[in-house]
Amino acid sequence: MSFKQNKAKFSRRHLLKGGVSMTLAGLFFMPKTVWAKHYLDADEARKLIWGDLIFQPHPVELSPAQMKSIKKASKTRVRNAKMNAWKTQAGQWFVLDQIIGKHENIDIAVGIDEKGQIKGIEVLEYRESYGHQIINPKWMAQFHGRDSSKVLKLDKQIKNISGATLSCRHITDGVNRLTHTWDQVLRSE
Amino acid sequence: MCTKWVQVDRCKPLLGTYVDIHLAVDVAENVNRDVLIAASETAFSRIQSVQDLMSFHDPESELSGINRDAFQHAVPISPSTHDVIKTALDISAASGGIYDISVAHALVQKGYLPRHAYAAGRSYVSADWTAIKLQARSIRFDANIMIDLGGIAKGYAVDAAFEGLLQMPIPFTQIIVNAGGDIRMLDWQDKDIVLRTPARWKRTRFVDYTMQNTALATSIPGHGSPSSRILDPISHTRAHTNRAHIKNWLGWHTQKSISIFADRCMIADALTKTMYLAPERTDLLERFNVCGAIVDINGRIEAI
Repeated sequence: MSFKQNKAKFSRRHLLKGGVSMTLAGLFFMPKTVWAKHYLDADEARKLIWGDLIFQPHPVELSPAQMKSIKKASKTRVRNAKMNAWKTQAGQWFVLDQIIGKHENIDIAVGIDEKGQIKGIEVLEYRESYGHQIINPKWMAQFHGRDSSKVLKLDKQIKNISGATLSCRHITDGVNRLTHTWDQVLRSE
Repeated sequence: MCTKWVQVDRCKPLLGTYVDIHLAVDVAENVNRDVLIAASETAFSRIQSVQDLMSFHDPESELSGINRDAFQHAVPISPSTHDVIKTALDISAASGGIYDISVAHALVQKGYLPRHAYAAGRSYVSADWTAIKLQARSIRFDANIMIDLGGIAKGYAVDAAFEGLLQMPIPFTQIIVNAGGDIRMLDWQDKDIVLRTPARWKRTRFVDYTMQNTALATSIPGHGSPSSRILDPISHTRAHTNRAHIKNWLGWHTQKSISIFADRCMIADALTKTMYLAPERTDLLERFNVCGAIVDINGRIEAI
């Protein structure tokens, strides 16, 4: 009993401490810098990757078991059960996906051929954030299906930034996740 | 009347980073957007071919073949890889070994570069750039070393894509190729760019600056991907643990970024590392006809 009380006290204190430091951090240390840049529309990306092939919408909903299994195989978290996907008669896929990294939130389009090989990857929309927004689901939600450059009027466009090279590892991981998704789910759809 | 442009912006994950290509043509030239998209596709494929030749991470690349065999016998070399290694050796010679592509083995040992299967059971040594014997069509190593073309090949890929676009019969008003901060710009005069200084606690700074030449590269050792870390080729320690790292008034380690403006991205990228390790070597700026800017953690800029 006493242990429980102690534990409660302990966590309350930590909560308070955490809250104070978060607020301080928010006030002083978190510049809300957001950059966004629009590249291609989904249709343009599809044409680039697949030319004039005819695609039919083929939305896929992953079951919790599939998500778990894909996560295990690709070692990458599966955030969305619903996949924005299109398919040809011959089994070629065109998938729109979202990549979330530490600072970046990127919409990509990926072409996967009938053998599960990646045919092409295009970045459609790139957003970079230095602040707390990237982990805030509401902030993320406003981007779905929208052109963020119109949503975020406060921001400068990503023009030409020179700095330490940002790694594209999150895209590589995301594409790897899609390859495993094809292997486990899409190939038999 | 304001001028209008037909333009295309594309971005692909290549060279371990994001490669962004911007193309613009005056609307009066009657160039179709599809033509620009096709041109950007050619530029991306040039970058891809540089990656296929010079990636350390890809065990099938030409570079990996050189690292595997060049100590045993002379290995044939493609003109592109030859150009990059030649430039690297020129900078090594001019800087007295401050810039050195032969640090790859030390980078592998520290876990910044992958340990490939071909390297298993081989006793690589940490010699220096003078062990690299480059001929017109072949390369050989005098010591059992490995070389990494990391940043300089990225700069070369940007140059290759850019120069390929210039040769096309399209009257571009602007071409910008940006591979994770290695930038080459056609119409660069009076154009603004942004220099980024990432720091701990998400205190990333963005500083506006004016382009000083057609090519720009920036280095911030210790940030970005592990492979972008800079190793001092002479002491084989991480750059930020010795000369270049400064402490701020709280005693915390803070960082500076170094940006170099040059006529080629390849030169700019290599010299950012050199100038970071040896800021006193301002003679190198004149020797390679470049200028630069240092940005500290608070966003203060110092032109060099």
